[in-house]
Amino acid sequence: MTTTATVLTTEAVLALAPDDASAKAARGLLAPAKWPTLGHDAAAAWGECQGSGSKPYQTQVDLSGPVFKCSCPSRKFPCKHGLALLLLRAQDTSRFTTPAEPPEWVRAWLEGRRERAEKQEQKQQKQQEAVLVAASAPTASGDPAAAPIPDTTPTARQDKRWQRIDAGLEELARWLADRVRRGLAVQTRESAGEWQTMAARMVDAQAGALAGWLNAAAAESDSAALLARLGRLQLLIEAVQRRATLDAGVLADVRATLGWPLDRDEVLARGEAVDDVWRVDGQIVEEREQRLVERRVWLSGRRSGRRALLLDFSHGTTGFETSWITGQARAGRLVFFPSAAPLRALSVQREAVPESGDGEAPVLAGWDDELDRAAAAMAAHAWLPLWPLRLAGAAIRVVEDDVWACGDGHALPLNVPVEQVPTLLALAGGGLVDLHGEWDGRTLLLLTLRSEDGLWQIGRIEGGAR
Amino acid sequence: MTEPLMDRLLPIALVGTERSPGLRALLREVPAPLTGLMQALATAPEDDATVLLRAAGVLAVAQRVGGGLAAADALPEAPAPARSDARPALSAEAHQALLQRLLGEDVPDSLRHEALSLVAQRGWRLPAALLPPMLALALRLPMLRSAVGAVMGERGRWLVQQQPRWRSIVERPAEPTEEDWAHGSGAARLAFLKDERRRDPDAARERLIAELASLAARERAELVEALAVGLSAADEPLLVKLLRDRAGDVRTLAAQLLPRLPDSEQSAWLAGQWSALLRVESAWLGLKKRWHVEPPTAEDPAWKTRALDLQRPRHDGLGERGWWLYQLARLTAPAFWPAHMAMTPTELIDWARGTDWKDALLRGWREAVLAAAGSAGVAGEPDAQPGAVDARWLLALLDCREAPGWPAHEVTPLRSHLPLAARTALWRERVGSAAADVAGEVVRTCAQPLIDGRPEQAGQLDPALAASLSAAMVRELTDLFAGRHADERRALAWLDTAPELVAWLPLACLTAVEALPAPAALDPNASATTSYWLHHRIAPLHDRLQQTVALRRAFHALPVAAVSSSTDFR
Repeated sequence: MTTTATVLTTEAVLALAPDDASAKAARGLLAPAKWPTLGHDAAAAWGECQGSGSKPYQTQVDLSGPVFKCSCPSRKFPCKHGLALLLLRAQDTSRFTTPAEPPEWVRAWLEGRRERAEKQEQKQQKQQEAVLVAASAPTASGDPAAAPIPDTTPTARQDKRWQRIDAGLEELARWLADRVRRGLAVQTRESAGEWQTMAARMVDAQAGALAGWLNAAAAESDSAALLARLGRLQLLIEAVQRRATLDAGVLADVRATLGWPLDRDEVLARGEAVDDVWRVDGQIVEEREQRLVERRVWLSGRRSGRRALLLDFSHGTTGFETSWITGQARAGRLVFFPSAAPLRALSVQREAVPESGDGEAPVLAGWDDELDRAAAAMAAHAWLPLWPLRLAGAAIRVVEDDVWACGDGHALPLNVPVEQVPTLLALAGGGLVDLHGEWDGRTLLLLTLRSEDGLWQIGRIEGGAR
Repeated sequence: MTEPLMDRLLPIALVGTERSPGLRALLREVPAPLTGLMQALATAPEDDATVLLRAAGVLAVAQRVGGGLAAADALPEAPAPARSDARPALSAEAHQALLQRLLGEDVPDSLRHEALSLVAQRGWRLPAALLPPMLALALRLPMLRSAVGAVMGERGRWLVQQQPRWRSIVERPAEPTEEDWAHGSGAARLAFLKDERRRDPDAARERLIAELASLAARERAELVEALAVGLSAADEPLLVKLLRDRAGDVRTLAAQLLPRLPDSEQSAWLAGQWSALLRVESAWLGLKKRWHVEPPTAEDPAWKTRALDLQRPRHDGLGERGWWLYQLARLTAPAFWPAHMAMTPTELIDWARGTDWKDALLRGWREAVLAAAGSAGVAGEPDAQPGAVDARWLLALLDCREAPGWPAHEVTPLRSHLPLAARTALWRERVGSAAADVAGEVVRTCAQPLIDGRPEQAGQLDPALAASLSAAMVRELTDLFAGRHADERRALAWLDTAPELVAWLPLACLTAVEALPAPAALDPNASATTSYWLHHRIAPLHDRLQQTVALRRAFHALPVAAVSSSTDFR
């Protein structure tokens, strides 16, 4: 291939840093004296970085990811050397030579990656064939053209878990009813402790996500919001009681809300596969309790118009092995988790080369269409945490301490870190911008803002319960 | 509607269903579209609490589906958007990286000033995303405000309007227009008024008089500064009126301008005061004169109307009488003293040293001299106006033996008003013996005009002096990096001064700085005279100097922005 691979901007590279310390350290490695070797071709970029030791570190990046590899002892993804390498490339490609053949250590790694990717693809092919074979066996109705029925025979372990959940939720239902009977405003000395006890009980009952619901409820100072939360909890309890009659999608949502989603193999077997050109609208890395780090990547399909959420977890400052660049679009396959409002998906295949014209604003629907879509999703899935909104031609307004996005006659409350407000105003300059964010029914957490003057992303935040 | 229903469920939930019988009745009377659903709930067999929770759940989902939005016209009217920028933004990757480096901690302020000035000179403006950190920097460092103002562009001006705390970043239009007077910031209006004072001082004065009644104290103080330009006897009535202004700052400004009018009534009054306090003894048939000074013994009620500041700070070094003497001195034109007492400034200072009131007099003279220099310039210079101060006053004050005891921020302004030739002469003598000290003074003096709002006079440095100072610095740093040093205090002085100086030097001097050898690794047991800890602190200086030079060169290499023929260039 002689096409030059995309050169990522400085902003995009810094967005890949697993934490601020890495970004800062990378910036400190930009002196030319530190990089005796720098090279790139269409597939990869590489360099040797002179550290304090005698042997320089060998750093390389597979540009199709980007995926990083470095001989330094750091366990972060990507390490500061990988970031520095791409930063240098962003600032001045002329320092990178393009030899006829990359060095041996680069060639060997890329070769290894290619082999592993091929093996992975073969494995998936086999899995899918197995599903099709099972489905083409005659069904109960004798109609071989009926859609493959996923294997839903419950295992003994699943049955045990449901029993525990049932027992736990029965207690929860009684306790909630008790609180409402006596009055939520009635606080006894034991009240605060009771919430914690019930939260712990949910963890014991293998419905751990509900502990988060109860903790959030206990911290709620607005009593209307508290009642709303408890009301939806009640709906969940009753849905679990009626689970035998629920649609597959609704049942999957119930399980996900309990903190018991389908595992990867089940999703691959039962989920809907969609091939499309998927564009990254925005992403956010959120630090949760106990150094758990959650990354949400939001995609939209160019042809299908489908929205998708990729959810990944890591720990501490390790970072994530697969990188996604906001604004980039790549052809690939996603498999959606079953749901009444399908959103979460797994990326099972992704093209090595991004589509050209990445970063261009896609054609966006009007605000009413977008908001209707969100409304439909929230109506179908009563416990849906977040739905993505893409809004074109928005005006950013700051009125006292509140930030709003205005367009098509609507004003949407924006959730924006307060120290970022001047930057957003500077990029907008009172004109119209394109936004992307996460809608929870009350506010839009802004993830991406694009104006004629540049792109802003939220990056990494210290999160809390929403 | 769901909201009112939730509002009516809430009290029941808070008080408790066992105390509220009306739940079912409430659910039976729900209007469309939830009528059917709620009526089914009303007859559900479970207990009231469970039914209430279920209803609340349904309403909560409905709220999520339909809620959160407001109508755009419920918000107050939007401010006008930013105007289009005529200048292009410096947004290429490599250039943005350079601008980012200016925001780093280790960058000398003088370099930041030069870099941004170059950006302006080459016809660029800052990219929008860099405006907030640059404006924050300008807020923190007054000496950068003129440079940041020159590159903020229309987008920056608009942004400053949106964020009140940035409005104090003064930004003076190069060619003020009526529009600036009508709608501009305080600084823009002052620039316009000063401009008008240059062309038609009387018209400008009338304009100011017309505005005065409607201005707040701070705004009055801002605009009265304009009277310093084109001052004449015709301004006296206004100044006398301002002597009695409610705002202390306005009174002080007026009192500092009046001494420039030697025929003014204020000057006459001051002369009268001094004639009572100064007494001369003649001896040897008038050939030898001895002057004596006695401060007032009691507070004079007339002082208040003459803009003397009678609130002596409790722990001030001057006593009560000394304070009065100082107040009178600071309002008196420097030209008065040589005329009245027939002594040069140097002789006057020597004389003051022999009285009991040296501190009061020196302090008053220093302030009067600075006020005159700032307002009317230095006598004999091309920009001098009536009331300009004699350069010998500046030299005498800088030279006197008390000067080293004064804080730098009081000495530097005196030095910065000296004409370039005089300044250079003062420094040239000392470069050989006290290069580090001279470098510190040079650095502060070069930057002072930026703080005073005279950016066009910043960085004036005689090339020959710069070359010899640079050579001296290179010599001393070479010794330092090699582990030899003469004097610990001087070594430490170079730490902060050297990078700042490098940013003011002519480009030709940079080669020698780049050629400085890196600090040798120091063996703790070696017999070198530099202590280990000192070397530890000096070693990073080399890197810092190289980075400063590299950044300067990078900014000097900036291309000139292409001038677009279209006026719309966002």
